[in-house]
Amino acid sequence: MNRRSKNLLERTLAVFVVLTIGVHSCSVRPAAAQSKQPFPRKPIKVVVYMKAGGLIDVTSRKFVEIASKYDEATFVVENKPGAGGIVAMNSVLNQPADGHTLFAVTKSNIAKFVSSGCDSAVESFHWLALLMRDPECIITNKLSDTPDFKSLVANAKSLPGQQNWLGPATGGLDHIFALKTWNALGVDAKWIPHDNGGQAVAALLGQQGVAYVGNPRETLGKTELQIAAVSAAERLPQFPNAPTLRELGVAGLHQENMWRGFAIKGGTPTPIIEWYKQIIDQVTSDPDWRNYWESGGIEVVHWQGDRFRDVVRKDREEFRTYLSELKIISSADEKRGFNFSSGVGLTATMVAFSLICVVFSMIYASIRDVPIGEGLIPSFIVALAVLFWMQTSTFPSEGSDIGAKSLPRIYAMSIFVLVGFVLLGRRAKPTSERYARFSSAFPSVVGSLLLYPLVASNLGFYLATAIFLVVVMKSLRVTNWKVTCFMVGGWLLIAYGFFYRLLFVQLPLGKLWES
Amino acid sequence: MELFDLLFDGFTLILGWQPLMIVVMGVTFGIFVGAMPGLSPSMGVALLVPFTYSMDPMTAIILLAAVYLAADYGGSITAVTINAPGTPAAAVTAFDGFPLTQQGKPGVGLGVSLIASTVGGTIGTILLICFSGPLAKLALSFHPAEYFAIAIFGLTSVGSVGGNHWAKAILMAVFGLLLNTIGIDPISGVTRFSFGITELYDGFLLIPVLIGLFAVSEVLTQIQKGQLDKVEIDTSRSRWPSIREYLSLSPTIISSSVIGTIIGVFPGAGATIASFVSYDVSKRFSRTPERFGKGAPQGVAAAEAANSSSVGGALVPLLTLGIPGSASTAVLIGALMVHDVVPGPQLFQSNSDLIYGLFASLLVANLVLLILGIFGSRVWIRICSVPKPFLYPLVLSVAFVGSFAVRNSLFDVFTCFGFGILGWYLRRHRYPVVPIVLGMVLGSIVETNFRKAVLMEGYTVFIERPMCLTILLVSIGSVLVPILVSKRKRITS
Repeated sequence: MNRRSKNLLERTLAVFVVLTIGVHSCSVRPAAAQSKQPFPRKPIKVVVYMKAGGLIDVTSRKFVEIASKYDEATFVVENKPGAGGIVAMNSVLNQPADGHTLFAVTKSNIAKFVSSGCDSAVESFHWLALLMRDPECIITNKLSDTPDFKSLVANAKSLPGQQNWLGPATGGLDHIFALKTWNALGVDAKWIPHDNGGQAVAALLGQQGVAYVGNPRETLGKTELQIAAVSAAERLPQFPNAPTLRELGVAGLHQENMWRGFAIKGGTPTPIIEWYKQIIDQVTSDPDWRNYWESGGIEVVHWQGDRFRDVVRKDREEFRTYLSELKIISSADEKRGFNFSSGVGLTATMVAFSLICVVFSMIYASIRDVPIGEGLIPSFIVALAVLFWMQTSTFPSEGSDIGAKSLPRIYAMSIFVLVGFVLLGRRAKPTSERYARFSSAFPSVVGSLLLYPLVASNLGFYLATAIFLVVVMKSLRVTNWKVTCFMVGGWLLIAYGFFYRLLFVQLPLGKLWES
Repeated sequence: MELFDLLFDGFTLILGWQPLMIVVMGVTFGIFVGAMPGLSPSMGVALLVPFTYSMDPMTAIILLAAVYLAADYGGSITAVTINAPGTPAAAVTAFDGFPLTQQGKPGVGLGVSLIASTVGGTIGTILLICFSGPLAKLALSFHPAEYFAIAIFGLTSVGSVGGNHWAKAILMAVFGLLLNTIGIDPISGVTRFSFGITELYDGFLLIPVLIGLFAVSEVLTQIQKGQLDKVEIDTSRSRWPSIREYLSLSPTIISSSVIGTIIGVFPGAGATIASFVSYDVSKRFSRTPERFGKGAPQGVAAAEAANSSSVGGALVPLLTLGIPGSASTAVLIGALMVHDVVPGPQLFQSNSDLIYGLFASLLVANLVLLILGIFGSRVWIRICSVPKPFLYPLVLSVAFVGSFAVRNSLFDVFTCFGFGILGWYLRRHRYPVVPIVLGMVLGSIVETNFRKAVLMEGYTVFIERPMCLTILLVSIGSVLVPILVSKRKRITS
């Protein structure tokens, strides 16, 4: 590159850096200015742990819609799915306790916290408001041989352990309710989990099971389904024909429900908590809000602070008990073998993995008389299969289910056999062009690629992208820097306007600027 | 006749400037969302839900359905032009679509995908209108054993997508199946192979893996080889296929549309599986199967027709049973609930104008898609003319945004780039990458339905259920028969 284009490159890079810093500066206000302004000082983020369309998502959006009648504050619903709520929880706890981030939470999250070993996180939140309670119920198919509760129980007693009860995930709220019901009735049945409630309902409509555990509003619009029993103190006004478990002689199960509410990071200042109390009071008293939920049999409440916290703690203890019984979590005195997730375990795993890769590569290369690099692929896959096989020894054994370990072991065994075929198979004829040469740009492009996300997390997407694009284009011997500026600037504008502003993709702003 | 009367009434409701504008807006937005890797149709639908609060239910559902329909097509644009599928289903379109671009014929790829999408979407809608009741009953009758059998049939298409070395192809498919076991086991609730990493509780997400294995690995391969010359767009003949070429593809388009609609009806099956299965079926029945994977228009047509027709299929359980057939229809249910509309069989009686207005709007949306696609393709073709030293870095940055957008996580970006480097290395050593995608797409369906079926009725269920047994035998036959035929040919020759 000649001196002139080198100067132009440096100037171009400098312009982009200055511009990008300017953009960041506009979006980050000085702390002093922020602290003097009343709450809220910026849009309030409502973090929802499910994808859009789920009931907690609908709840949050409905709340935002009705809250706008009572306050000018801007609420933005942000969907952060992943790990049953752990990703959303971590996202909320990573924000400052300034009241601008709410966590839309359900009872299912508590189950997930317990099963993932994060149950101590319950104490990191201020439990702001429990907004509604959706009673658990047992739903049957009118056209089946067990259309009502009485026939359901009689069938369960005549076929112990044979009945299929349908619902969402194993270890979730609905499964726990089913377990409690079986215990109360003195029967045994099988829980058949599905990806979501909709699929389980479809299975019930197809008579693949005798009962579905869910909420009353899930029968709306489905004429073949009926509520065999509902967990409530009294019959629901919206479903007057649905008997309660108490009426049917089942004691102790009249308050099983799915609740939904909001939590906020612990340590949020009291005036902000009071602000939320007021607006939540207004929303929960709003006729639109109440009618919307009560028409589906949902009880609208507003339980705050300590009362909500006590509910959460009680649920946490209950989940600890039942999830241990289901062997989803190990009890205190049960050992599950080597801990692959601990610091030592992870290090040992990485070392073992690397050793297997190296040794197998060498064996492969010597048998097939090829470079060691070619042996890396089958050895990587074999090492992974060995590692996964070893970890399956820590999984609990199941009863009637073939278990979490079976198919991974079958896949691992298949890999060993298939690698054998590859190892002993016909060799491709060596040619002078068997492997294409590396261009000089390749190492710098790969290096830039690996650094790109790291730089983006610290300096922000826009600055990192500007640097990345210029560096990679330079590696590819681009000399027309006007076109480069145009391309880079145009892409940054599209990313900002389309992804960030229009589609609300929260492109990273960079830890350096956020702090 | 009553059906026609109701449909006619539906058309009268939407043939005004306002509803038509809504359809055009929805289709336009849907195409953009679908084209962007990382932005799924369900995300596009979800983003517009808040904007529909002030609309009446009819307008709201028309808008959201148009987005859903168009986004499924949109994914094929980036699949064909830069080998970065905008949606998982578009990955199958990329098998033949991108090679066409590499051969200087992006117009053929884009043209075939557009027509196949439009026709497929229309056929899917017609089947929805005429047969929603029987299709819903078919969906309900499917046992987990049958889902398992269909997934096994889908896996047999590894032969279609795996290239010449069968052991390497199957090894890659099993590798994909193994990767798919990472995360929380849906049956027992046990967390598997996450090594304490929170983001791995859900396993590797499909979209970052797709973008990495397809787009990033392709860019790295081209850069490594130093192949940065501009692709010459073939302008010696018409940029688009001729009418005759389209007509020659009509059997493929029609059969794939039917397959796509039927598979789309089953909750949890979806457009991706529909695309894989119809691609495999088309290849098996094609007179020139050797062209598949190297730029066969038939491959593009099969994938896109199935992809778009599955939209109509997914609406069947939504409208007739109130059950979401896909992630996008789950959002639609939420949107309907916000408008106090409860989907289910009673909707056909109580809100027939809403239902038939929706049907009419889907037919109109397909026409709008065709018109916008014809004009838009001139722009998309220009992308292929961008010099590679500019295009490739931009593709890598698009990959960043696309993989980040799935759940706003840098972990997915690392996943994307990691799989990109892995994909490059695999291709360098002549291992096919597509079977990995096949394994990851079908892995959870295979495992969960196998275990559910065994849990419900024991191991003998796979033999006792006639449909399951038939599908399994067809799957085994589809693998063994070509092997036996080719061995016999070798012996006789």
